[in-house]
Amino acid sequence: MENLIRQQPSGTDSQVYRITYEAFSKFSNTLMRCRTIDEIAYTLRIHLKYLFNFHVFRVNFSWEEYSIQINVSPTNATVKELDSLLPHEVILHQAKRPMHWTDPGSLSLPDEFSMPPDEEAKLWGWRFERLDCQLVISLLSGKSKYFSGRDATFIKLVAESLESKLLELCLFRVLDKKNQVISNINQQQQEVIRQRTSEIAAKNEKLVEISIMNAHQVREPLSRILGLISLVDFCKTPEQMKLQVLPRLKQSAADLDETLKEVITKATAEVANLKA
Amino acid sequence: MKKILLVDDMEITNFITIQFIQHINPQYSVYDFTEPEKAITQVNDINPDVIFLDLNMPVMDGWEFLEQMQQQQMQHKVYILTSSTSDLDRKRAENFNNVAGYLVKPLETTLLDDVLASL
Repeated sequence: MENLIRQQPSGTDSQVYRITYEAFSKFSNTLMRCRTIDEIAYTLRIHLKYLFNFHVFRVNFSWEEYSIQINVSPTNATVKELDSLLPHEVILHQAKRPMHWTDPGSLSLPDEFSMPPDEEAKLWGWRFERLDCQLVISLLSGKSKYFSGRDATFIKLVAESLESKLLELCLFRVLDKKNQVISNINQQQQEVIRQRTSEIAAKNEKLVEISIMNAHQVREPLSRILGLISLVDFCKTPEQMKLQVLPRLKQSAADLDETLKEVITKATAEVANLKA
Repeated sequence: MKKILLVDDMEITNFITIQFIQHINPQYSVYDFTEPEKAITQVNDINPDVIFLDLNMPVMDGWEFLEQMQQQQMQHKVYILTSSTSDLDRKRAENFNNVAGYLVKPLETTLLDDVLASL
């Protein structure tokens, strides 16, 4: 197979290659624009048939915790995201080299791989590994969908493009996840800020209430003192002032002092309470 | 002669009000109480022209005193005389028909003059 690829193409071969390269560049451009795995599967179904013949073309990609399988037939393309390998994929992973099977029926593959005996089905497999990405490509060919070893050139080109694209989509998913985490953290912080703000507002309100209540309590003895002072003008004799006003003034001043002490004790306790 | 009823738990406050009233007109009869629960039983007997009522008192506060008056259908004119400058108290006082005014301590003699002249 390797020898076939390295052969210099003859005149007609070079024409065939040119047309196939054009088809490849079309495929590659369309693939580049894909934003989802389903779009990739659709692109494979539309464009691969111009690059080489196949009954089934299968991609099994894995990178970190992501696993993606795309099965393409000329009429259908399906996507799965399971952490599973088909039997021949296990063999390819172990062998770490391209392989092919002339009796795919013996591998117990899914139904889409089964062909009538006279089709003389052949299964081809390639395994690629770059960075942390693992990519296994398998292709089922037959008499009516003839695949030759030299078509492997395009398999390698397709594999490179697919690997980059699938890795890109996986990285987008990682990015989305991280963004989600960040936005969750942001949301939590907003919630904490909202809660703290309302707590502070409630404490402020409580403090204002305390100060109003205290002011009223203090006003009572103070208003007596003010009233008594204005009585001084009405006193007809110093005796009257000394006997009637002064003792009451003294009492009221003592009451004021007492009230203030109470208020201070109470406010201190409330403030300590609010801090807790 | 006009009869005035004072209800305030602080003797000193009643003393000040009495002095003020006597300064304006020594002829007025002033009845002063430091226990509103006793004062309420005397209202009908004394039948005062005006009651000066404190709000913040232990045992029975000014609001309870006003409610008792309402229940016993006493229509005597009441002036609230309190050290509270609270708007809430002022609003609440408006709910009672017989409350003619809301005065804040210390009482101003000119205001008292007007109140007594209006009796």
